[in-house]
Amino acid sequence: MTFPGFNILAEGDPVMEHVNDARLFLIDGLSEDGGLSRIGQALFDLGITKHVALFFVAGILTILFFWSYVRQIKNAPGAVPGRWGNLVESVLDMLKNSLVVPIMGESGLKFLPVLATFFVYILICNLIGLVPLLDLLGHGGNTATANIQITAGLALCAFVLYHGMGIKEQGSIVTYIKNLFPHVPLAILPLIVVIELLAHIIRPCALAVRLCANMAAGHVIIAVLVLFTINFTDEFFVGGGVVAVISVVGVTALTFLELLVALVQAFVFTFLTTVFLSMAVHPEH
Amino acid sequence: MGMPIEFLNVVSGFLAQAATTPNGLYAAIGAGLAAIGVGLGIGKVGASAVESMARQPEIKGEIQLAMILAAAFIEGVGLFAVVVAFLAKG
Repeated sequence: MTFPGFNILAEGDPVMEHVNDARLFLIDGLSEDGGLSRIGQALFDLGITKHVALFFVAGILTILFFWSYVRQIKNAPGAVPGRWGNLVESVLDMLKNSLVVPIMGESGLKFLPVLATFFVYILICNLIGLVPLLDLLGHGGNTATANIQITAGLALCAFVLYHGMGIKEQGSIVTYIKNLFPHVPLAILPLIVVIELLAHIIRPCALAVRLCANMAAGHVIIAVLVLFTINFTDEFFVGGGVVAVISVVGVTALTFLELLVALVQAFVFTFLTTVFLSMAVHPEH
Repeated sequence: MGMPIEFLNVVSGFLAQAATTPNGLYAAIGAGLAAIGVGLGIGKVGASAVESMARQPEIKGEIQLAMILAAAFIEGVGLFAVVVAFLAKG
């Protein structure tokens, strides 16, 4: 069962094979009757593909990220944080001082757990995409956030979060809807209503597409550079070494850039969610 | 001796395909134009960030954060255009 929009980009293309989704355990040369292939096909019929499985693994890693330090605090409250505790505290400190307090003020600190979860989850998903040998799980890309369906799910969570928190903070739905639209003279009110509704629909879509396109584009460029060597050596065997050197240097540099992009895109998603949350909770109109 | 003939083959194949179903060509031109816009935008942001870091080196950290944030947004807009190009390619 293929879902609509399963793969926006071309199938079978050797570049896109390393970015797109595929069923689990799709390994070359593995017979279709074997146990692993049957498990992979059964999971695919349930909707679990490689990206979904890696997203789930990232979820477990996010829980472990925070839970290790929480357990350490519970066992020895007031103790000096160890190495892992320092990492967790520096991430939360950065989120608090650069993200929540400048945008939402002190009253936004109750939203810090949700925003930290968004940040760490997306960061771990992006970083898993940079690990090279996950092809043991089968063909297909291993960046879960390069899949528009997964980023659309994350954007939907952010959408529900900011509308839900806005309704909760302002009391009732009627007050919230009245505060959604700025108070302008009656003449241009229909136009303003249309524009604001469009903005509310487009913002989560932009969140989803920004994250997905950034991750997918980075991995496509890396795949193209790696395939330079392969295609060149296929046609002209001599001189493949020179192209291999260029290819490896390019892939190394681009992987460092992808590391920066992974961090920045996680931060930008969380930043925009915080901005929307602050606009919903304290409407400035 | 066969290499120039192969090259002519490939180029004429590409031109024939571009003439009859120009979807890929138009998509590539669109994505290239988007890259021009992104380059100009991020260049402006980078220039003003570096200039303000030179004027007041004490808040270098905050300026750097704002610069990276603005660059990510501008890059996002460029990638929207690339996604549209992919969808238009068919």
